[in-house]
Amino acid sequence: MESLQNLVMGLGTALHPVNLFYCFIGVLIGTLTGVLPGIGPVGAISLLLPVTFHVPPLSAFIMLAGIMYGAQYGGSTTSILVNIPGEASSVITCMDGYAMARKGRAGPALGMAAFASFIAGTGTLFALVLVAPPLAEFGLRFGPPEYFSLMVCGLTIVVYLARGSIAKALMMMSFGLILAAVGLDPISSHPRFTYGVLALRDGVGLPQVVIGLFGVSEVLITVERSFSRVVFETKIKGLLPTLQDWKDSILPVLRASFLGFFMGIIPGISVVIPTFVSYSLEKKLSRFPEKFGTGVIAGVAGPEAANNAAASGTLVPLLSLGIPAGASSAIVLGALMIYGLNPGPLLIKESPQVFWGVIGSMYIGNVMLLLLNLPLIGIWVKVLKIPYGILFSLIILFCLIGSYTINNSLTDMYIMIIFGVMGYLMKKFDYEATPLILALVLGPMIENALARSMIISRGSFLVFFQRPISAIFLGMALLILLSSFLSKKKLGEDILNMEE
Amino acid sequence: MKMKIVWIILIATVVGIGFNAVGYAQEKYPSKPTQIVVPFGAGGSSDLFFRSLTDELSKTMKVPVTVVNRTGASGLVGADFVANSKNDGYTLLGTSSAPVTIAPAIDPKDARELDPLALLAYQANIIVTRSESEFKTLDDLVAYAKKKPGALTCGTSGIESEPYFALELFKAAAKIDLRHVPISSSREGITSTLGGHIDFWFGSLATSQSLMKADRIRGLAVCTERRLESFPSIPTFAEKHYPQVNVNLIITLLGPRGLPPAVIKTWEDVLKSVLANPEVAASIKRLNYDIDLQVGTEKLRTYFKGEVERFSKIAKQTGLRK
Repeated sequence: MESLQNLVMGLGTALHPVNLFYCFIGVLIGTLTGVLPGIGPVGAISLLLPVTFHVPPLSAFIMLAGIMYGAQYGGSTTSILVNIPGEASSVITCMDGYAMARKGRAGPALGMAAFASFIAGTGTLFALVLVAPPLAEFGLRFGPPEYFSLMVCGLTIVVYLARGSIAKALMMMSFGLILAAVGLDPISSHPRFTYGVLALRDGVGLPQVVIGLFGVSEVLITVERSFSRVVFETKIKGLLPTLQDWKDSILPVLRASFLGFFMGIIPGISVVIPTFVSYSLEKKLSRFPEKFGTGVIAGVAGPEAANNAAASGTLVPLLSLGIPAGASSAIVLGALMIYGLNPGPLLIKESPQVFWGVIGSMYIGNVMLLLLNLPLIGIWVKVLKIPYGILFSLIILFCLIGSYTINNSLTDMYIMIIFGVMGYLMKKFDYEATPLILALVLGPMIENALARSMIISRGSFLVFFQRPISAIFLGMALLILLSSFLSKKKLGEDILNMEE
Repeated sequence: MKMKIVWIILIATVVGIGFNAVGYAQEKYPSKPTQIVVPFGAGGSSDLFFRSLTDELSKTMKVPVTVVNRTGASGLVGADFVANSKNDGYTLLGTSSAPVTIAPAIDPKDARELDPLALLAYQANIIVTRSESEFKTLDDLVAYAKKKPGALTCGTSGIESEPYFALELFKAAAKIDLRHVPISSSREGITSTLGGHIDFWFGSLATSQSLMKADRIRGLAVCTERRLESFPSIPTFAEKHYPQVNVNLIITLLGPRGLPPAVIKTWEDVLKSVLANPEVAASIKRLNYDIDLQVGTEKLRTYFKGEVERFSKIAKQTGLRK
C-alpha cells in the first residue's frame, strides 16, 4: 500500500542522525517545559523559532513537534509527584496519580503514564496514516451548533468527576462559568467584569488559574499539614507497573485512545477535554467507582492515553487541511510557512518527504520519550525525598516565574497568586478545583458556539435539534444526566435495603 | 618645571574626560539592544513578519534587535507598554495597524501616544466562500443578497478587526444586508466556511491561501488596489465598482511619541536596506505580505488620523462606538 511505503520512507528520513539529534533536543526541551508550570510548549517554540530559521525545514519541524510531545509527557510527571499539573491537560492526572504517589506507588504511576502515552501515541499515528483524509472531512461537519451540543455534553460529565459532594462540584462549575465570562463579549466586544483592567479584556487565562489553583494552593496546604504529620510513605514500593497494573490499565488505554483520537479530530477541541471525558468514562465503567481518587491506576492510564491520542487526532485537520488545533500547532504552521512549505491540503502532494518525515519522526519521538522517561523515574521519585522547605520554595519560585512568562505580564502573576490563595481555601473546605477548570475551558467555547448558532439560525433554538450530529450530542447529555440520577436513586435504594 | 608638567597633564586629563562626557550625550544611535514589541501572539502573522527581519536588522544596526510578545486586548496591552516607555528609540511597537486605527475608532479612550516610523508591508483582505458554493463571483453574492436581505452570513474575526470594517463598507456600498458572524479564531472561521456553516469569510489572505491553492476555497474579491500576483483571477473591489472597500492588513512600526529625529532617520534608512535584502524579501513574500515601505512621520500621522476618522464613521453608523 502506498501509505505504508511512504511511511517507511518517512521513518528512514527521520532516522538520519541530524534529524534524530533535533528530535532529541525537541523532546528534551518539551519535557522540561512540561515539567515547569507556566512555561509551556508555546513559550518554548516561540523562543526557539529564530534558531530554526538556520536549520533545514524538516529538522526544524521535527524539533518543534518533539517539543509539543515532550511537554505532554513532562506535564504528567509533576502532576503525579507533587499534585501540580505542568499543563492544563495534566490536571486530571493529579487526581489518582498523586494519590498513588502518596501510597508509595509513584513509580508505577509514572511508568504507566509513560507507557499509556506511548501506546496511545503510536497506535493513533497508525490510524492517522490510514484514515486521515476522510476523517478530516468528518471534522468539517462540526459547525457552531454541533460544538455547542458537544460542549454541553462535556459539561454534564462533571457529575462523574465529583469525588465528594455533587452540589459542591456544581457550585465550582458555576463559578468557573462565571469566571469564563470575564473579558470581552464575543459578539459586541463589550468588556465584562474587567473593572477597567486592560489585561482582563482577554479573560482570566487558563494557565494562571491552573498554576494557582493547583500549584500554589498545594504548597500552601502541604506546608500547613506538614507541621503535624508526614504526608508521604517514605518507602517507595517498586519503580515499574506490576502485571496487575497492566491488566487494570490495558482496556482503559484502548478506550481512551479511541476517544481521544476522535475528539482530537474535531478542529478546535483542546486536548484537555478528552482527558476529563476519559476519566469520567473509566469511573463509570469501573467495578469500584468509589475508589477513583484514592489511587486507581486506570485513572492515570486513561487520561494519559487520551491526551496523546488527542494530540495525534489534532494532526488530522492539520496535515490534511492545514487547520491548526491550538496555539502550539499554529506557531508550527507559521514556521512552516516561513520555510516556504505550504501547510494545507497540498502539503502531501507538494512535499511528501516533509509530510512523511514528520510522521516518521513522531514515532521516533514517542520511542525517545519512553526511553528518556523510564530511567528518569528513579530520579524523579527521589525528588520526593527533598526536604519540603527546599522543594516547595522551589515550586513557588517556578510558579511565580512561570506565570509571568506566559505573557511577560505581572497581571498574570497576580491572578495566579489570587487563585493560589483561593485554591488553598477551597482545599480546606473541600471544594474541588477540577469542575472549575472544566467550566473555565468549556465556558467560552459554549458561549461562542451558542452566540454564533443563534446568529446563523436567526434566533431559533430548533437548530440544535434539527441538525443530526448536534441532536445526538444533546441526547447523550440528557442520557448522562438521567443516568446519574438513576444510579443515585439505585444507590439510595441499596442503602435503604441494607438498612432493613 | 615639574609642577608645570603635572599641571598640564592634569588639565589635559580633565579636558579629555570632559570631551568624553560630551561624546556620551551624543552617542550614536543605536548603542543598546533594541526590542520590537509585537502585541500579538508568537507565530501569528505580524509576529512572524518581524521575526523574519530581526537577523538582518541586528546585522545592519550592529546591536541585537529582538522581538518581544506582549499580547492582550487586541494589541492594546503592547501598545500601552510602548507608549509608556522612554522615547529613546530602544523600545518600538511592531504591529498591524488595527490597534492604532480601529481601537481608537471604537473607543477614543483607547488611543495611545504613538508616533509612526514607517509602514512596511500590507496583506490583502479577501472575501471567500467554499468551492462547492453556488456563488461563483461577487456579483452572484450581491444579486442573491438583494433578493433575500439578511439571508446570507459572513464571518470575520470580530468587530475589532479590519475585515469587519471592510465588510461594513461593502454592505453600505452595495446596499445589501449580510448577517455578520464573529468568529475570533480565523482558523475556526475558515473551518466553518469549509463546512458550509457560514456562507462567506472576510479575512486576510494568509488564512485562506493554501486552501485556495487546493481549490477548496474560492476567492470572490480582494481589497487591494491591484489584483494579487498569486491569484490573478480574483477581481478587486475597485474593479467591481466598490473602490471604498480598501481596508487591508498593514504592518507598521511605531515608537513612543516624541522620538528624536536621529532615531527616525536611522530607522528609515535601515528599513530601506533591510527590506531590499533578497532573503528578507523572500521570507516576507512567503508570509503572504507585499512590501511597500512608506516613511515620513508627519505624513503617516495624517494617514492614521484619516483612517481613524473613516472607521469612526462606520463605528458610529453600526452602533459600535462606545
